[in-house]
This record gives sequence, structure tokens and C-alpha cells, in this order.
Amino acid sequence: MTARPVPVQGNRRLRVIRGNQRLRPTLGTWLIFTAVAILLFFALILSRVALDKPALELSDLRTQIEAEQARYQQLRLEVAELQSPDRIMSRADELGLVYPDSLQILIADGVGDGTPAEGDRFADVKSILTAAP
Amino acid sequence: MAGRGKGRRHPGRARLIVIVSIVLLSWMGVGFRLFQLQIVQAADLKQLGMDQRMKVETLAAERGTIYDRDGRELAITVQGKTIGADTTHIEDPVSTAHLLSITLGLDENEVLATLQSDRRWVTIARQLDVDTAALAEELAIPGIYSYPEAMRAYPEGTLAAQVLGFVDPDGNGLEGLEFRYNTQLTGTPGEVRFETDREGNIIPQGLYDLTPATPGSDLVTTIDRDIQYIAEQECQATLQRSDAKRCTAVVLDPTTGEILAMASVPGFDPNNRSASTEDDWTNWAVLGAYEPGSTEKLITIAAALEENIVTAGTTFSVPDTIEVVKGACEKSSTGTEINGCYHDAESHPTESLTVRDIVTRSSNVGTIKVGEELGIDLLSQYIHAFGLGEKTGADVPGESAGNLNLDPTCPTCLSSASIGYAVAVTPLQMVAAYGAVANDGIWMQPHLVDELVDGSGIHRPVTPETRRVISQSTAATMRALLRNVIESGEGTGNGAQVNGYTAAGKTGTARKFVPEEGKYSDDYVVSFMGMAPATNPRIVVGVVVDSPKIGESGGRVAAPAFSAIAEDTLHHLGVPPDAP
Repeated sequence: MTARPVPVQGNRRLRVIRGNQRLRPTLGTWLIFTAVAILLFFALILSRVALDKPALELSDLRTQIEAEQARYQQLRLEVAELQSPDRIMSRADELGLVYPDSLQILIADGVGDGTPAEGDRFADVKSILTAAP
Repeated sequence: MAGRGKGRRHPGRARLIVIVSIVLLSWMGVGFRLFQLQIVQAADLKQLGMDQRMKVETLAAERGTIYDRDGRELAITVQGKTIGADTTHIEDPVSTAHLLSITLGLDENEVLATLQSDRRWVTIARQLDVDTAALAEELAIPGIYSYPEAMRAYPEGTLAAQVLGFVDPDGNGLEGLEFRYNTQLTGTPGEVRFETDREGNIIPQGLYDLTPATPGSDLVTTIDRDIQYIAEQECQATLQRSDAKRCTAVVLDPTTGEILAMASVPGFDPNNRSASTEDDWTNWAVLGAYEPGSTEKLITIAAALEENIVTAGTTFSVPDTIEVVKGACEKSSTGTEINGCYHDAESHPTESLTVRDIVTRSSNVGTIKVGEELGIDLLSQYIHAFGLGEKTGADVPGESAGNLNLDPTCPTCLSSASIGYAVAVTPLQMVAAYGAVANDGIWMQPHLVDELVDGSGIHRPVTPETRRVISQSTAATMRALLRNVIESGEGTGNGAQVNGYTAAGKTGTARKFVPEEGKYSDDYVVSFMGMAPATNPRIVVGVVVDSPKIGESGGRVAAPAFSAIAEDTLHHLGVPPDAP
């Protein structure tokens, strides 16, 4: 038994087209294609914006943090300067405050001797004092 | 048909082959180049591209804050601004220099010279405070720009300036604690790497690699800001009263060795030290060695008591002059003590004085007699035990060890050292020695830094050294003797009485030795070392005044300063009065 080619039954792939029967994209097809392309284009832009937005916000936040930290440091300095004994003494002088002629010291029993308790040490409160924004 | 076809040439086919070959070769060339770029050189080119896009910025580590013992800032880092210029954009250097000099308080000629320099980018003023820089920014002068730069600020101004020291514009500690703990305060710089476009803008989705800076450790000192202020104010008042050259005061907690205050006046403002000198920057409490005079008698008497050579009631026959080197008193017309002829401060007939009287009246001759009983070896041993002649180890840079001249073969050394000559000490050494008496005979190493605090916790850089120097009973006896100096009508330290509190202490008046001339000058160094309350000392206060022109004795110049500092400090600490 030998192989033989399958006979071609005429030329089925070729046919005669007349006039308006020629295949061409219709207007509707073009409109749909254009609309899809535009949608895809905007989707692409939107996705890009969506991706970039957090990064831009992050950048803004970093700038804001730096500005707030600078402000925090400046305020810390101002508070320290305002609490300076030298400033307070000058202010007291301006206000006409004077030292008393005599002192009377009252000793209240049971309130300690002025020595800081162990729990009042700086190390225990430092985290609160120096809390940065 | 076959023969015709066989011999015929096909020019179209040949052209096709040529074209295909060219196209193929072209594609092969492109492929080869792509292979080179994408495979062979890929890593290098990728790096090259990254280098062009990547920008690296160093993030300065915030320098640690220096606090006082209650967490109040003594030195902090804030954001300042630096004013610079692009000289190529300056349209009128003369008017620009004029405006900037007025606004920033700079020398107009210097600004003009800077603006007219050959360099394109120049710095006009570094690390201005934000408000001052804003004034320059408001001028909106073309070519003048500003950028943020961290700066060190000292909110208390001159307070404890010599203790804190200062930093250079680049943040390197140059003096004081800033220098001593520079490594710990500095921290580790960080780095940020990010991709930028051609204009230098950050590419949002680009690489952003942040290595945060590690801030420097915070330093918690033992200084009490308010006590420091009290000491400095009183020193200032003492200078005005006595017309002296310098006043140094130290306040110590004798039970812990913590230095509550360390003042040197005149001082300086580390925020603006342009008008100050190196002398003003010097921490004289640890660098200023001086002959202590009578305050050092504490050691002679304490040693003799401890060795059971004398008691407080032991009696000595005390003339007003003693000749240690034969013929010295005949030669000495000026009464200088280094020739072997020693005098008491005031003339008196030969008297029978107890050790208590000798201390109360601060008799040089009597103390020398006690010293002779003690001998140079024992005296030397106790002088060292009390910490003289060696650095205290306080965390202060450049501390002086002082100087001792205790050569056993030297004929005058024993006598001189017994009364505070032939030894040079620092105020801190003497305060620590008195601290040992206040602390029941235990010497505590004085120190300025309590804690270093960083992100990983708290470190105590100093574990104070302690040693017993004298027994508890000897210390108690010494306190009683020193209390008599203040409370007795004959005492030299009456001016040191503290309102409401008992106090104990000793005056010191020593002629000032001039090393360059090898002799004593007419100037004095006067001092008072004391403790309060005498019944249970909470503080030791030392006041040393250099070259007073009015008063010229420890009792008249330094004792009142001790009194004022001790009283205000005890009030501040909330110590109840103990005086009857």
C-alpha cells in the first residue's frame, strides 16, 4: 500500500467577490478599536499615576518630616532658653522682684529630704523628655 | 524546454540572495552588538547608567544632646542656615556686600572680598539661626542663596561653658565634654541613594535606598543647672567684691562623687566665642594647679590623727616663727616660706596650742610641728591617698595632676608640704579631698558624666573609684575641728557661716608662685574648702580666688562666697536646716 496525495477538490480557498461584498472593516469596528485604544491609553496613564502617587506623597511626607523636625529642634531650643535661670533672673529684676530679707523654712514630716527617688532619675523619664515628632 | 531552462541565469534570484545576505548580515551585526551590550557589557553598562541616574547624599548624624542631671538641655543640635553666593550671578558686589553686612552683622569689606573672589561658589556666613538667615533671604538678592546646616546651640549661654566646651563648624568637639565625648556624641552618618532624572528630580518609582543616620549618644551630666548658676553668680560677685583676676568654684556631692557645679569666672559664651580668649575657655577647676596653702592642713592633721600621733587635744608649744633651715630667718626679710623660715600669719608670743587651736587659728608653725611628728613618708602617703599629685580621673580632658615636691632629702619639703606649699593641686583635687572627710573617710572619684544614653540603652561611662583614706572616727574628728574654724570666734573662717546650717571648712591663703621668675609674687591665691551641713554633709564646696586686690585672704574673700553658695544650694536641694 502506497501513500498518495489527497486529491484537491477544486480551488476552494479562492472565490470571486463582487462589488460591496469585498471584506473591509466597518466604521463600527474602527470606532470600537479607537475607543478601546483610548481606554487602554488612559488606563495606562491612570495606573502610572496610581503607582506614582504614593511615591510623591512619600516624598512630600519626607520633606514635611524634615521641616517638622527642624521646627521641633527650634522649639526645644526656645524652651530651654526661656527656662534659663539667667533669663528668669533678668525678668524678675525687670518686674521688681527682690530677695526676701529673711527666710522661714517649714519642714513637713514625711515628704522626704529632697533627694531624688530612684524612679525620678533622668534615665527613667528621658524617653518622654526627648520624644521627637 | 529543459535545456533552455538549464543554461539560463536568474538575475532576480541573485539580487534576492544579495539582499537577503545583506539583511542577514545587518541583523547579525545588530544581534552581535546586542549580544555585546546586553550580555557581555550588560553589568558595566547597567552600572554606568545607574551611576548617571543615582544621586547619593550623606545624612549627617544628629549630635547627641548634653543634659544636666534633671534632663535640661545644656547643648543641643538645631537646624541653622548657611548663606552662600554664586559669584557669577552677583550683579552688584558692592551693594550686595553692603546689604548683607548690615543684615547679618558682618564686616562689609570681608563680605565684598568674598564676593569678588575667583571662586564661583563662596560661603558668606555659616550656621546662622533661622531668623537671622530669613532676613537675608527676604532681601532676595540674585546670586545669594541659603541652605540648611546643623548647628550646635547652647541655650544657657555662658552657663557651664568651660565644662561643656564647644565644637567647630563641622561639629567636631574642641573643648570640654564636647571634646572628651566627641566619638559618642557624633554618631554615625547615614546615606540615601536615589534615582534622578536629567533635571535632578527624584524618579518616583526609581530606586530609593535609605541607610538612616545613627544619632549620637546623649550625655547626661551630674551638673545641676541651678546650682551651676548659683556658683557662677557668686563667683561673679566675688570678683567684683575683691577685684580679683579669676574665681573658680566646685560643688560636689561627697557621697557619690557627682560634681553638681563647676564654675570658672570669667567665662565665655560658646554660641559666640569671638570675643573670648583661651584663658576664658580653660576649665580652671581641673587645669589650674595652685599652691593650696592652709586648706591642705586638713591632710596633715588628719594623717596625724589617723596614725594616733596626736589627738585633737594634744598640746604643742607654738611660737610665731619656726626656722627649719639654720639661719634662714635671718636671711629672710620678706618672710617668704621657701627659704626654711616659716611664720604664722599674725605675730604672737609662744603659746601652748592644742591641735584644735592650731586648726582653728590656722597656725603654720603649729601645723609644721605636727608635720614633723608625722614625718615626710607618712605625710606623703596621706597626700597621695587623698588624691593629690594624680589626676582624679574626672571625665574632663586635659586634667592636671598637679605637682608634689616631697623629696625626703629636701630640708624644707616636709614643712612646706605640711602647710600647703611645695604642692600644686587643682581645685577639684582639694574638693575631693574634703569630700573624703565629709563622706566618713571614703574618697569618691569626682565625675561629671552620669550616663550615656543611645538607642541601645544606657551606659555609665564612669564607675567611680572609691577608697577609704581615713577612718570614720578620724573623719568625724576632722569635721568637728573644721566646724570650729567657722564657728569659733578665733577661727579664720567666720565668714563662711551658713544661715540655718552648720558648716565645716578651712581657709587657705597662699602667695602666688611665678614659675617663670622662680619666686613668689605679691599676689595671692585665696580659697575656702568646706562642707555643709557639718552634722551630715550633703555638699562640699570649694572656692578658689586668684589674685584678689581687696581682702587678700581666704577668710575675707573666699569664705563669704562659700557661705552664699552653700546656703542657696542647700535650699535648692531641700535640705532641712540643722543649725540650733
